[in-house]
Amino acid sequence: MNPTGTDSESAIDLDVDPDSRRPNTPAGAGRGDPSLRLELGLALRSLPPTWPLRTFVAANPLAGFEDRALPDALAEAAEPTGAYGVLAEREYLDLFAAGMIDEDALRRAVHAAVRAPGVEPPGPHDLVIDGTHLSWVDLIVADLLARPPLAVATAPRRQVSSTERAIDEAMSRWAAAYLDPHATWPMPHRARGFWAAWCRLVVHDPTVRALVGDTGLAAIAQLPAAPDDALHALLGRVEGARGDVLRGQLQHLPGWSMAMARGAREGVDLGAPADLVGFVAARLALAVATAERDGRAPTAAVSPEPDADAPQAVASQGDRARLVLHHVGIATPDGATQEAVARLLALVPSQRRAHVWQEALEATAHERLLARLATSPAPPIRSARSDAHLVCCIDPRSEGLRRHLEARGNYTTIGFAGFFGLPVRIQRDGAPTAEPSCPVLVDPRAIVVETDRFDPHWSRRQAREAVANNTLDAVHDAKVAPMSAFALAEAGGWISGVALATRTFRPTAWRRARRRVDRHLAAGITTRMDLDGSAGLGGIGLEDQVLLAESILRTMGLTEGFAPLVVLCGHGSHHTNNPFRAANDCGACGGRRGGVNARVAADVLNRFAVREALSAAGISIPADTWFVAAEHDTASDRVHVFDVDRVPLTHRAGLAALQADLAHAGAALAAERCGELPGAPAALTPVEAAAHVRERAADWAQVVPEWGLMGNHALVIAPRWVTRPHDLGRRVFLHDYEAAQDPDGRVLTTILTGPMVVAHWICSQYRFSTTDPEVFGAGAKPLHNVVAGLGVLEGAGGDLRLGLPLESVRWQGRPVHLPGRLLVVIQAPPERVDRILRENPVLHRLVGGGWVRLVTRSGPDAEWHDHRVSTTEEEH
Amino acid sequence: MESFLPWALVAGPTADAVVSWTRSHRPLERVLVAHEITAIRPSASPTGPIVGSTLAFVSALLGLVVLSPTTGAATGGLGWDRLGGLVAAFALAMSIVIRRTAGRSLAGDRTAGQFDAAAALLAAISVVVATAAHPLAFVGGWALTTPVVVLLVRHDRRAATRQAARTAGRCLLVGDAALAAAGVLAVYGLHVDVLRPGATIEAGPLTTAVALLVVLAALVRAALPPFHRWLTGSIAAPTAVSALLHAGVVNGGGLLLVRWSMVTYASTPAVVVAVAGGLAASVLGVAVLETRADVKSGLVWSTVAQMGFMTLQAATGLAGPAIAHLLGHGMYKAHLFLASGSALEARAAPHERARRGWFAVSAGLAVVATAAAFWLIRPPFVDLGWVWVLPFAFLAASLTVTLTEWIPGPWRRVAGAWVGCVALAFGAVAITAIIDHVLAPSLPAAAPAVGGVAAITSVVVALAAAVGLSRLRVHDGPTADRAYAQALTVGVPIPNPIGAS
Repeated sequence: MNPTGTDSESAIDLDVDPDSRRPNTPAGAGRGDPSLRLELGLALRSLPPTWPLRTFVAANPLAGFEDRALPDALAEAAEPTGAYGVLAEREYLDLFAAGMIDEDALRRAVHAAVRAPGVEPPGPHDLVIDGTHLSWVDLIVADLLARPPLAVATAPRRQVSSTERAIDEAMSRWAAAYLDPHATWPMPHRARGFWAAWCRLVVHDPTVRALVGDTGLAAIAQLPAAPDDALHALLGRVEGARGDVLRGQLQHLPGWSMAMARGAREGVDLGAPADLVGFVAARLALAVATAERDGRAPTAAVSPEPDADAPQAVASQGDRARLVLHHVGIATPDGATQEAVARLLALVPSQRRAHVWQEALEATAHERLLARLATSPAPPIRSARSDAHLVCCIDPRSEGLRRHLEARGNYTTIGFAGFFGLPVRIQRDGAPTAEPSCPVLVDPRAIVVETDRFDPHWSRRQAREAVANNTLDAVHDAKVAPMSAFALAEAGGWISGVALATRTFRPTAWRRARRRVDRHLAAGITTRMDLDGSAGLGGIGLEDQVLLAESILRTMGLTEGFAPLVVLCGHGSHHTNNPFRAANDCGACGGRRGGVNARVAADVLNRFAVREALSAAGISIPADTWFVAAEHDTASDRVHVFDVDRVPLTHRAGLAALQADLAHAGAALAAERCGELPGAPAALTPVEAAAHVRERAADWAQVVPEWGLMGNHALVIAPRWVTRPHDLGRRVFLHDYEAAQDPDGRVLTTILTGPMVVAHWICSQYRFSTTDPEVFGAGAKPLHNVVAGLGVLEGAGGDLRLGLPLESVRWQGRPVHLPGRLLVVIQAPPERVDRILRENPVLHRLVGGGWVRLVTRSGPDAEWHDHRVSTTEEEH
Repeated sequence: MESFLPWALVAGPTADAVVSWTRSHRPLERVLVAHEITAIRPSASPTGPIVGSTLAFVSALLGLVVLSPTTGAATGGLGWDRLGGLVAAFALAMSIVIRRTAGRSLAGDRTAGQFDAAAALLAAISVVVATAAHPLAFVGGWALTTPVVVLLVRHDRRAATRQAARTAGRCLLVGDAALAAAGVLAVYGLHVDVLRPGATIEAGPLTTAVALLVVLAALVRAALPPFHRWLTGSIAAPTAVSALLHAGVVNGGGLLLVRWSMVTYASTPAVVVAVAGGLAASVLGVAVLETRADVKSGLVWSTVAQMGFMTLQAATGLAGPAIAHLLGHGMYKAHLFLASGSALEARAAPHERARRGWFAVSAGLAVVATAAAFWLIRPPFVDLGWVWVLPFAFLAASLTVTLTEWIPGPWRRVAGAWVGCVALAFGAVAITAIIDHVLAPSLPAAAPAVGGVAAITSVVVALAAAVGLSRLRVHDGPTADRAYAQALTVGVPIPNPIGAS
């Protein structure tokens, strides 16, 4: 169907389908050892799933360990790097002081930690000291609240030896050169694969020569020419299990390894094969050569050398006991008392303390949300028809827009996955490839072209765009060409000066000017989504359109009572100069803006033929209902409505009223957000706030144009009336679900296996980027250095960074995102949920392993029911 | 009044720096809190005031318009002239813009206050260097730059930035030592006011020694190989620091060559060394930048090349154009650094394009246009002779060829592009001519003896290098492999082979 589709497919599949994890094969790879690629594929699982930054998708960095329980997974994943899965103790103390952790929750967490299986007897008991009765929980809590000793949360950070670091630097340089298809001076021989090119070039690399010496270079030149054979030969020279060796090599440079495995990028022809085998062989060759140079036997995997600078000192049990006793008012304890208290405190060893805090933090947030939801009054009697339905993404930011819009009139809002259930690729007319616009776990086949060929002026737009593109390319060429670069700096420097001043002091004016240019280039033409593939490419057949339409409506629970206007509102973030912009776009659309999906869905649902077929299937859409596509710009909180010219005249007035209400709701939402955004003036009116967020979005120096999904911690799968009375502060994913309409649980299964997993991945990404911005996160934005059009480095070298930037989760050294696992609240019969959990191994693993917490209730009067699937239950 | 203006220009940013430092460190409040007089907790305020710098900037602009063009009397080693005023105004403007952007981009960073104060201080020091009327004042300001650069690069004291700051400090100190020696020799050996345009300096061994030391200091500060390490390492620091170094600090090299040109022009060996260094850097910089996959390294090596070109201009007698280039490039590079986060917003892949192949027409047109620009603009302005026309026409031609060879569609679109390029070339000539004319009283009256020959040789060598480079890129063989691997690793620290642990 699409000649370029295969590249993107392999890129998407990589982390989903274990078979396709096997990297593409460069020509003449050699096949002496068939199990090698399998083992490498398995080792690759230990790395965080990543995608190119242009389509950043939040993923659980520990996704490869999800078949284990969270604590075990964390221990195993952290072991080679010493990564932190929890905050520092002092940060929890700050959060406790700020009221984000309840003392009750802390006591329960202490209970759970001490009574957990595996804790040695004797069990804890209360103490009586000087006639004072002291409960053991009180004492341990007092210990936790005392000034924390310099305890390290997990294993100490691994200190990479200078040799290993030098190897990593060299490999990083070569990987970047290999993966950059648009370099003016491309890496020679790269079309033949990494290994082939590297072997020919590395002999001239002075840094490698300094590392391994001439003999080492000669030894590398002797290695087999096929990467598989070379890796096989090298593995034979290293002690240790092959799997461990491979994993160790990958974990040195997880970012580059993932990029090497993925190879082709979305919409870009790499011009060279993905060659992870060659990359690993090259790194291992250097590791072996340096070891042999030093006369060491090359050993397996990672050699954790604890960081000498890391705080190692842990207060002795005696000191802790004295401190605690002082805290509870016993200044001069006798030796026996002190020893008894010390024994008690030993039940929560230093390394566990932060984990106890984390439990308490999580429990506090969860209990508070559950308590609020429990107070929601029972469903209101269905009143008159709404003026409009607004269907938004489950994204927490939609909660704000929905809340403010609902407050303004007779509107009903619905939460639904932001790709509107459309597994499609969207291709802009004239673009070389179609980009998938759906969750990365879905493999889309259908292609819809966004085109303007129906407009008589389309050739004018195309010509203007071609000139603009060629001018940009020409200026880029002039920048890097000898001679012309100098003239460009002299001639263009003063123009840069104007840009410099405008973008710094008048960012909105700059943005307005850019928009004017864009409008001129568009030649006043708006595009359409070509559903039928009339231009000869893509399209969705009518039968598929009907199936999609039915599944969309049933999953969002909108099968009756349609308002005259049903707005399908995707979202995206329009701001500037941020390599991580896609992190603020729609995760359900694979890190892209969701407006295009909304347009396709609205077009499908407006079709007469589709509606006819739907009414045969039992969903009758009234003739006076019109579907409208829109996109919520989460940076400026403005809602753009698409295809207004196609809206029937009868609906124009209603749409205008709705747009006015959306504008007001957006401004109110902006005012709400300004209360949290760093550097925003205090107490802004909605109008001022709207101007402020617009300026932030246009500001090239702004590192927090919006907070994104910061604070997300729960997903509520319930009718809107459960959440509608509450201001959830844009921190909760909302998916509408009416249990009565789904007796067989099919819709709920879809929600739990789709949107819930996406929410869990986002929640985990935020969690681990917060707890360890260095290992799981991407570090600070001002240090970022975009490389190979693929991702960012920190400074000049090192690994391709993973995860979210520091400014998305922390501010001035403090966490702004409160880490925790996802709480999933479902209003549905618990038995139904249990059955779905039993039938779906993935869900069973996530809930059983403690990756998500699942809470259900059958109705407003029922109690919350905690689904705890223990692994022991599984065995029965 | 003229003689006090430089100190007023220094005072503005210094006041900003002091206020900014005080605000972010709150020394008074710390004392009060420590003595339990008040309970206010110190807190970091990322943005300091720009009032002082802005006032200084406006004063410098006014000075350029109002004050007499000739060099006035000096007070405390600083004196007003147009070159100093223009460079000072530029340094102040860049400092204001970069500090304002950093106020937002570094707001999440606890070292934002430190950056702000250091950046303001750097502007004050730049004013000292720009307006120094006495060699030792120049040397003093020059040397003060180094610790501020080290402080900026060290940023938050991560291992990477500490290492980069150490490298920068060591590298820059070589230049500082050379200039200090040159200053002492000039003042106590030559007994001539070397900074005064029109000073007559006898050629001789002492002059040559001073000139070579000056050239060495300039090469270091302009980050020309082999002294590029201080700049290549600074990528470890935040973008705002890079913007400041590339828009401000590297320009010191050019200013030094122009200010001390009475000495350097009097020594043929010094001119030859500077020309060779500049030429090598402009060729090497482009070759290296073409291999770099990361945006910031590409920009660093672009700066190396540009500074090489600027050194070439300054050394062959084109002092005015060198200053014009330095200002234009400063803004150009600051913009590219501050916008470097947009690299992914650019289109994913270059479009399918077809070459026009009308190189000769494009190039010829540009040469004619440049010559016409000179002919039109020259009469009221200074006469630097044909030496100036040739490289300029050559550059305009290369830019025009690059900009127009891919333009698609009908010929009138190409014609439009030609008109645009000619306008661009015309504008550049005009700006350069105006700057040259305005600064004439501060600039050397004559080019060095070997200037013309050096300029022609440079053009020929550069052309040959460009052709050679384009051949290497498509060549498939060991020479190309070696050249590529070398270019990819230039500027990368060589690991210590004994560092086995």
